[in-house]
Amino acid sequence: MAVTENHLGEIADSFDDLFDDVLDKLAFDAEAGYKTQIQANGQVDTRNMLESAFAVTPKSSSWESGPDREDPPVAQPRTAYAGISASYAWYQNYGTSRIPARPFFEPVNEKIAREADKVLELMRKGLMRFES
Amino acid sequence: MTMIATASGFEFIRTVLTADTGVGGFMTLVTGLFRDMAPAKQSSPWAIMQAQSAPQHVTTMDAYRVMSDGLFYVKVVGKAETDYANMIAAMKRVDTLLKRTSGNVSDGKVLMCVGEGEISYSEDVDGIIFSHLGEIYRLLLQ
Repeated sequence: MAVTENHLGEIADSFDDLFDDVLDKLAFDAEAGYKTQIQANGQVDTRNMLESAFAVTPKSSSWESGPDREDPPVAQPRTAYAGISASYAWYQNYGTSRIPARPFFEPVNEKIAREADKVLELMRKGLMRFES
Repeated sequence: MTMIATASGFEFIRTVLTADTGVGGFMTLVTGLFRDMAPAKQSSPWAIMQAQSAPQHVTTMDAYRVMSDGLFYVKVVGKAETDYANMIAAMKRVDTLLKRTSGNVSDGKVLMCVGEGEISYSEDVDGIIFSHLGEIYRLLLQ
């Protein structure tokens, strides 16, 4: 006789939900960061580039159509995207032959990467506590 | 030692690249190296260095600055039709000179310089296509 109590599937599913929550937060933090940095850089004219900042996650998407915008990335499991869909964002971020770069992309990405490291460290500590 | 990490990063890049003056060297492939943007009417191809993400300080618990971590890019800008071969050659020299390097600057050190990704895009200036080709480098400064 045997009784099987196997909840690994449920535990794994709950991890998926947790990861999706984390990805969602990081991606939407990035979107908010781009908007803040674009405004701080004084790069708001028609508001098209500002409003083209987006996040696409397994749970939701803030991408909206508008003039001169690139298509949104396709949502994927355990993957989140954040960016600026205005096609001329490159010129603002990296500069042209006539205007200097006014970066908004990398400064925010660096901040989000540090935030992600902290979250992953907290999750790792939580798992270690669970193990002991 | 006190250092302004952004200035030190520029100093490192400028010192390394402008020393490359031999046959086929970086300085023979571009008309100049500039911070942020080139002067008006600069003949192409020219090179730009830019602090893309201001260095962030890594500190100990008692606020002692261990090092600063920042992103810089070097790119070459030129006419797509006539300058592109030179631009590729120039960026190959940049990569050879900067990737996985370290060195001293006047008020400190560059502990590490590593390439993180390429930049490549074009723009139309009065009917002439200008290409931008570059690399983003992470510098750890102390």
